[in-house]
Amino acid sequence: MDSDEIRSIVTQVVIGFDSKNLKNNQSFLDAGIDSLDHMNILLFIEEKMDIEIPDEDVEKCNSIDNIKTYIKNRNA
Amino acid sequence: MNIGIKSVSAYRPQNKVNNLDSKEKWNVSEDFIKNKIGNITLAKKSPKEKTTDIAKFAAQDLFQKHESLKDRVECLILVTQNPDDSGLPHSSAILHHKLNLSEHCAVFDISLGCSGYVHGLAIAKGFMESQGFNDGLLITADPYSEVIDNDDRDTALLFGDGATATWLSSSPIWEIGLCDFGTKSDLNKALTVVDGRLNMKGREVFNFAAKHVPMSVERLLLKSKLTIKDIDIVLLHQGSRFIVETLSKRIGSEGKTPFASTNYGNTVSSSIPMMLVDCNLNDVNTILISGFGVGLSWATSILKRVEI
Repeated sequence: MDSDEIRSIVTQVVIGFDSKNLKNNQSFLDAGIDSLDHMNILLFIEEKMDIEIPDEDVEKCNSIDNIKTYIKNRNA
Repeated sequence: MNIGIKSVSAYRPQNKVNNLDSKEKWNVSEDFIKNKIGNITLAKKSPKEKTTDIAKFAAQDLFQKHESLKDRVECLILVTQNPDDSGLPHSSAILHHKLNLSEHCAVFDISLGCSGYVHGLAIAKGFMESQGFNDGLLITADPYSEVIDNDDRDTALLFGDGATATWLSSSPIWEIGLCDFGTKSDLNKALTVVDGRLNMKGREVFNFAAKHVPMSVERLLLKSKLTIKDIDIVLLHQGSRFIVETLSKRIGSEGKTPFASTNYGNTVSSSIPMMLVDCNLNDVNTILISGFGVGLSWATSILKRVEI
């Protein structure tokens, strides 16, 4: 899953959020994305990638870069 | 004989707690409370009031609207998981006594949470039709103030108290259609009461609802030979504004899926019948209802206005 796909999910999920300015290494929290929208973003990713992200890994998936790394490590 | 909904009444305690007053406590913004939680105030019963007391108020309101009903009630079904005292005797028996109903009345509790009203409609309909009953009451009363931990951020902002009474009749206004039920019992620990306190694994409950409710709706529409376009209004269990909006997008019912519990909160099995009372249904002929929660379970049904 590449950065654009993740960014597209963020746009879809977070109403009114301009994800064009979301840096790949910027945490969602710092970008103003709250915990509920973060949860929804991860659900979309789980469904798209057919994986389950356990609760203990949620904080590891807190930015575009970290999500990419997480998925890459899961697939390895 | 076709049992359906003839009338619904609701009771909401006057005492309210304002969620905005605790935004500093939870380190959340006003925007988060208004637009994600959705509940500005939560209705709370008095600690001295029992489940059957608030249930009684809802039933009495129904009797005031329909004078002849009280003497005709052949069954009384109470949906609750917070019974009076120990739960034995069943709270519906205590309520039956408080309402002074006829002794020729079948009375029992249903132990279900947020999916309880839709399950209750199907159970009551089947029971009444099989026994040839003409008039019954389906009551919902599940005051979570009994079990809420006011220091639990995940739940303290969500739940309010309330009760409803539905008159089920052989001369209904709303037909109860087919249903779709389900239980993901492997997730049963996502919503529990331990040592008298509610515990909710919010992410598990959210993921469950987001995945399974749209699939339930799709199955039921297919079974009923309908599409979402045929549905005039979608009344979803009012878990939070966030879950209702998420589900309405996934179901494809944006614009006709109200969030109505802003002033009283998530009233568990009462949330759907409260919308039957509050929403303007004058131009509505087909309603899709879906409750989901404890179990984790879901129940979805379609109500159709009876043609005169």
